Amino acid sequence: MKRRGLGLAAISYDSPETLRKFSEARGITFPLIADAGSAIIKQYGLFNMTVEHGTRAYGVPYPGTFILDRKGIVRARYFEDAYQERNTSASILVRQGATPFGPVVSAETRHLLVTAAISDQEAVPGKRLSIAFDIEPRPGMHVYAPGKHGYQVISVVIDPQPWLRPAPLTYPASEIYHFKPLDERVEVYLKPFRLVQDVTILATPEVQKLLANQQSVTISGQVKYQACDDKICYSPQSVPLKWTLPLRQLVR
Amino acid sequence: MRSAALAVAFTMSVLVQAQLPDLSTVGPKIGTAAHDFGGIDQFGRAQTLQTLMGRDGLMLVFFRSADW
Repeated sequence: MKRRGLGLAAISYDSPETLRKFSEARGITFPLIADAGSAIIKQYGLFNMTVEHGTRAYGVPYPGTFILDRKGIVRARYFEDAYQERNTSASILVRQGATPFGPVVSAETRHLLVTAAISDQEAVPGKRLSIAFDIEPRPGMHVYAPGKHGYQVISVVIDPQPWLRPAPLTYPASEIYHFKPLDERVEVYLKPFRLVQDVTILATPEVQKLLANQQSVTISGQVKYQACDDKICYSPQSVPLKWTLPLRQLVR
Repeated sequence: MRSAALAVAFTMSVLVQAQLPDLSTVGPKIGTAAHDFGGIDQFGRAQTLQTLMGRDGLMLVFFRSADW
């Protein structure tokens, strides 16, 4: 985060004393802001109105993360739908274009090079990780982006696991390619680009039981695409990839 | 005892989730200015948006609690 010039702070409705004990126990050195009374949480419009007054949780925010620029303008925001699931900071940074911190695998075909890396160095139940697929079409090649055409769009298929939930794949902006022989204009990627596949390690009681004795998890999948140059469209390809991450259990 | 507490917390989370609003509608939107604020951190230091800001921006996390 420092390399990217980003400050980091986290806000909760806890007292400074609670946050001090928590940061000491976890070795946290970045600022944790005590928002007793939830004044900042309300100011940001994040006060969780669904929590009953008088309960311990009254005053909590809808949990989420904002990326602000130097002028304080919101450039990105990430919210979590499920109580048990959280974005990792590394995952958010990868979605912002950062280099992933976890295991990296590479593959190449006659059409393109793929480097695929996981945002984090470990898997934890409830964590949402990002897998960045940095793809470089070979000179003269293009692959197909989502758009109004019938070609096979490049995609990622994550192999099903009972403990894993993939999110929809995130595509970057594409460009229009003019295929002169057919006077056809289609959405493609010609230059290096990044696909981001988020995956959540589930934290349901069933999954925690399933993973209880595992030291690591392996995520696998394929990049599927069809590549063409200015003369030939090649047959669709599938590039298998897999990553193994140490598994850390939740602290109870 | 701990199991009972976890069960209560889980039940509460399910109830809370059942009524959650569309989270894309809460909080400052992309392209808008985040509100400045004043607060005390875990070391007793006064903090504002500007004191927390890095060279190129800030990752600002709102989380439920460090206490439960």
